[in-house]
Amino acid sequence: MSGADRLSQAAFKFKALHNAKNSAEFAQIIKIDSQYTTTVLRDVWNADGNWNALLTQQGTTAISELSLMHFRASVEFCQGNFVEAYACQLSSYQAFLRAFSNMDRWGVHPLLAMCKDLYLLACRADYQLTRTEQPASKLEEATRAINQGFSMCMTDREPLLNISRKWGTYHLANLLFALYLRQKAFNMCNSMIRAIKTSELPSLDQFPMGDQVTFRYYRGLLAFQGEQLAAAKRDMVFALEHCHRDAYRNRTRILMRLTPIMMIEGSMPQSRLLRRYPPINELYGGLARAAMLGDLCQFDAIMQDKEQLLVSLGTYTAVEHVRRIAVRQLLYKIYLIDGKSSRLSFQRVRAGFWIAGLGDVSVFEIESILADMVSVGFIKGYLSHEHGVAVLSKQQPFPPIKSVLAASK
Amino acid sequence: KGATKDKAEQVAATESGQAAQQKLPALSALEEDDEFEEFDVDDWKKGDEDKEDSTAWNDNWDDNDMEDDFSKQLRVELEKVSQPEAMAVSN
Repeated sequence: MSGADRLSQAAFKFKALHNAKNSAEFAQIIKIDSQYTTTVLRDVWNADGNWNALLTQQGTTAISELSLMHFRASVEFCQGNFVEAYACQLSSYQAFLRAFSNMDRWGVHPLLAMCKDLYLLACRADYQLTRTEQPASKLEEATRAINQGFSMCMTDREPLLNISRKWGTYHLANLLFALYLRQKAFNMCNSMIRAIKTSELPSLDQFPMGDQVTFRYYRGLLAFQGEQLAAAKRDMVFALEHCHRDAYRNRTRILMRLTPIMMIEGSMPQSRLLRRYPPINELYGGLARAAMLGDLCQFDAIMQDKEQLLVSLGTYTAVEHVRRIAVRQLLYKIYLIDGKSSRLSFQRVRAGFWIAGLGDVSVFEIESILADMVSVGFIKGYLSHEHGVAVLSKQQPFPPIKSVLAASK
Repeated sequence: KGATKDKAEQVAATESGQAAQQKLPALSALEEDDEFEEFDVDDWKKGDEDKEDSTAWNDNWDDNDMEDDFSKQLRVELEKVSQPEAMAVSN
């Protein structure tokens, strides 16, 4: 059998799978490194000793075009020519989209397989282009292409829900989140979330759990970045509670954002959590311990040490809010040491700060700190500037932290 | 036929393995930590979930007992310093 015949045979296989709506097998063989693909290419090479048959054939239908460009992409991929591989994959994918408009739900699985390969190749193509100092815009292009597939799922008009392409929407959205985030296109993420919200999709909880957890993780991530902490918490907690128990790294990713949110609310990570997730302990463990102790000096030192990491995660501002808890703790300890006197003098606090390694803090600054504590409700009482004291309430002058933070919502 | 098959192996198997793998370190360098990994399965039941982590938070830690080193140090040093009011009165 000549190479050309082998390729025709392969195109026929794609056509047969398409006609049979064989979602699983189609999705499997369309992968750029699938066993089937490798076998076909090996047979072609064995027969001809070159790729001429592949390069000269033309696809006359969407499926035959898809097939040919897929094999070309695979050859380029095997040879490490990622820019060329990407271009072929894009052509293959665009041919697929033409056919996809007439496919129902069965086409979703193959669509996803192609999108993932397109993403992979775009990344590698851009990397290669950057290395050779050329403009690298394949990821951007791939994003637009994948967005087309996403739209075709979300806006499917199929009246029978169980065969609608809508069931692919969230999985594609999750892929797009990854693409957008790589390009720092946060506004695109938010537009997409809004578009989904206003479309007529089945509710999220009807989709596979993998789709739900992933979507809520990303939505929570964006809410966190937009400083919508309550919304972020809802999504992150859901993601954590429903994440597959074996997906350790994904659980860690969730905790990277959830931990500061919980800390801001006065809930500190228990040691069993920190033991289970060393990266979380590494980043937040010391801060949590310092905050609980009221060791402001240590807290500040760690903040400085971890600053770059916290900023790159976008959690620096959140952790700064936890500092207030550390301040409250230190003041509370000074109060306890002085026998719970209802008068807390500024000078006394100043001495305590000095001992705690914070250096010579001015009385003016101490007074500001105490004023802040009173205004947020960590201290119940009032300040007397003339007497240089905070006059504390007889009842619970230092209300429990969690109750204060809960009330402030 | 043997030589051709070797060539085929070279193209299909070795190049695929080597070229693709040579590029793998490059891709992992591009990997963003925020990006969720694909789950091994698409869907699962409650039995595959784990509520442990969502309950591993300490809410009632602020009535601490001052038994730690930091608190002890603070107490010792603070008690050495006379109270300002006491000083003012004695003057």
